[in-house]
Amino acid sequence: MRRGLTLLELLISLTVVVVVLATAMRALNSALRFNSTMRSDRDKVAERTHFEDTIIDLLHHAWVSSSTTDENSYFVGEAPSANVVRPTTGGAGAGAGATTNNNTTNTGGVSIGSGTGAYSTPNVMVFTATGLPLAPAYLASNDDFETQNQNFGPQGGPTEVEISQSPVGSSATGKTGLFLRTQVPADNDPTQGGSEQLITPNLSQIGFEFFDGAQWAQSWDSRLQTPAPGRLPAAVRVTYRFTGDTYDHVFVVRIPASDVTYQDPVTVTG
Amino acid sequence: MRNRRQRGAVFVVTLAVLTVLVAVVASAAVSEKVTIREEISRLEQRRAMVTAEAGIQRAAEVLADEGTTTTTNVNSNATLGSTANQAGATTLQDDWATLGNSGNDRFVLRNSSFRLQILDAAARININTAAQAQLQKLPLLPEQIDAILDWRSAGENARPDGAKDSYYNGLPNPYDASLQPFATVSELLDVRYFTPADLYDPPQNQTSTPLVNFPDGRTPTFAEIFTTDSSSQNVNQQGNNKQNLRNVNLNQLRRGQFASIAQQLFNARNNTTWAAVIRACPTMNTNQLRSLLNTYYVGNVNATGKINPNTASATVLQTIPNLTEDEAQSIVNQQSTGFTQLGDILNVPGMTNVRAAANFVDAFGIKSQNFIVRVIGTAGSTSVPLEAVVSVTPQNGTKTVKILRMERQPFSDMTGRWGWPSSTNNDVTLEAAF
Repeated sequence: MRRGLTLLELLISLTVVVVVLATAMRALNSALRFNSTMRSDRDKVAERTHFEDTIIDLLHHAWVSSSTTDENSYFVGEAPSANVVRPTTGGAGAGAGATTNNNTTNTGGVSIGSGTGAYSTPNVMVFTATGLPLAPAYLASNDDFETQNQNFGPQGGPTEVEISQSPVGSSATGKTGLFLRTQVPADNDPTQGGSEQLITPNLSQIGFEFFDGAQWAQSWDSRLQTPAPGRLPAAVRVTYRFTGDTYDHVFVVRIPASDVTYQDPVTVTG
Repeated sequence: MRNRRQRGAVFVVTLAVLTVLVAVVASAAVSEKVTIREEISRLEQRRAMVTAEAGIQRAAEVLADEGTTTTTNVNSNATLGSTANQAGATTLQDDWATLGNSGNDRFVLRNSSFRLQILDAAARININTAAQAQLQKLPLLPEQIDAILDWRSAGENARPDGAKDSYYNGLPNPYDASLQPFATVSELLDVRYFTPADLYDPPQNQTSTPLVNFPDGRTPTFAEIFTTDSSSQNVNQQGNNKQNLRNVNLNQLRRGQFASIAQQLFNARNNTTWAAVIRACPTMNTNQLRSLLNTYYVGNVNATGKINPNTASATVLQTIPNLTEDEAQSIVNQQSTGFTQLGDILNVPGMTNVRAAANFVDAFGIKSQNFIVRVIGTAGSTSVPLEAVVSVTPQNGTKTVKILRMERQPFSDMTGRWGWPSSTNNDVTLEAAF
């Protein structure tokens, strides 16, 4: 007959089991927390990447017509106003109705990284773009024109793009983040129209600056530049913070269709 | 028994904990792998985009040199052909036309590459200036023609089958008609009766004259034969602006080869079309008209919507009102030698009659200003097809090259749609080329 376990053996074995289990549970907990943190960080990076890629892609398609009579294309980097009359002679503000955008002050750049300077610049950018991707479902559709309009909305031609922290429409109350408003086809009113979507809910601050060939301008309005139809900035500098960021993030997007250079800068940015 | 069961319990619990740990680590690894793949894909997308833009810059560089050769030294460069890089004409013998070998060459930039093709915008039909008679020579429905004309013209009175704001405002997703020139060809998708299939697929409604296939055998689509950007400069063979007929001097006319028609010509000098000038000079002969076309211009020095007989395909040439299929083909046959001046159009067999010339000569321009650059940038397994419009404008003795706009192409199979081979091994390593 085999004897049973002594109390001491039982206590030792139970202690060992408890220690092993505690260690394993701790390791498991750490692994789960690590996994969760990694997912969270990855989601944040993905959201930041999505935000930056969206801005870069849109600005790569920015376009202003070369026709002096086309008023349906523009690049405005401040709170826009409708019905601006392009000046016929002189500089910015020469035309009637130009007063709201008559900001010719160019302080020559801002303090990037301070968390204040960059954000004194406009946080609204409205411009026209061409060649933005068409929805695959729309391209594959064999419906007639009117059914396609019902299902997909208007699709062709230049698109009016607005990037802003201020949502519009009846459902805007309480929304925060960065919003993208697109209108197809672009009309000559940069203040409204089209549909809006949220690019990211976590953006807390953003500022845009515009390179005029010599320095970073605080605002831009191609409609007020002479000669018409005005020009695109050579590049846009975007400074932003997401919620929880303790420092500024900055990236610069060159605009391929801009003809602004060091040799041929814009003297009046609008 | 209880002891044995206890030992087993420890083993099972340990196994379970280890299993969960392995599952967590494996899940993290898989997740990380997916993330890395997504990041690689995103970086490839960006690299392909940047590489495609490099291709556009490469095209712009070559276009900046377009027309830098004067007539006198062109003839000394026999390898390029008689009309290559002339200051006064844009031809298919120019360097821009052969750059990229119609997408057959692959320009390698380390581990990325691009393929490209440059096309003359003046080889296409301008939907902003094409008259109703020209649109009627296309396989368009009458209501589509009315809708195009209504879209691009001011006023609120629609044609019988067309559409203005009263129609567009009543759509489920309403908008206003443009009532001004089209900004891009894709704007046709906003016009009543037009769908992506109408624009990007070969025309189905061959109710009028069917389109002739491209030289490579492909059936044309409207996206490939329409433009909004064709622009020509009225320059002489040396590349200098011609004289405006409006400023002509009567005494000057009386002394030269126009002496016999001097008064007629002087009286007709304010006309803005050659057709009107020709009709006002009933005794003008072919040599006089040829010389007139080579020396003077009517209208604007920069003309929109002209078709370049040096670069246009038979598909496009046959849509010019009053031009027959045979005449269009004769023009194509002469492209190998090229038209060095506008007056050369009167050398084409069957097109030498002055009276008949009044019907077509206004359709042509020899010196093109805007070009379409097709490019596909590739990085890894990702490709980005782009199309850019590049303008070349003489300014203060030099050329200003500007990218007017850049458009991402709507389909992933653009090589086939552009008539390029699906792949190529004709590599051009750019480090070596520079």
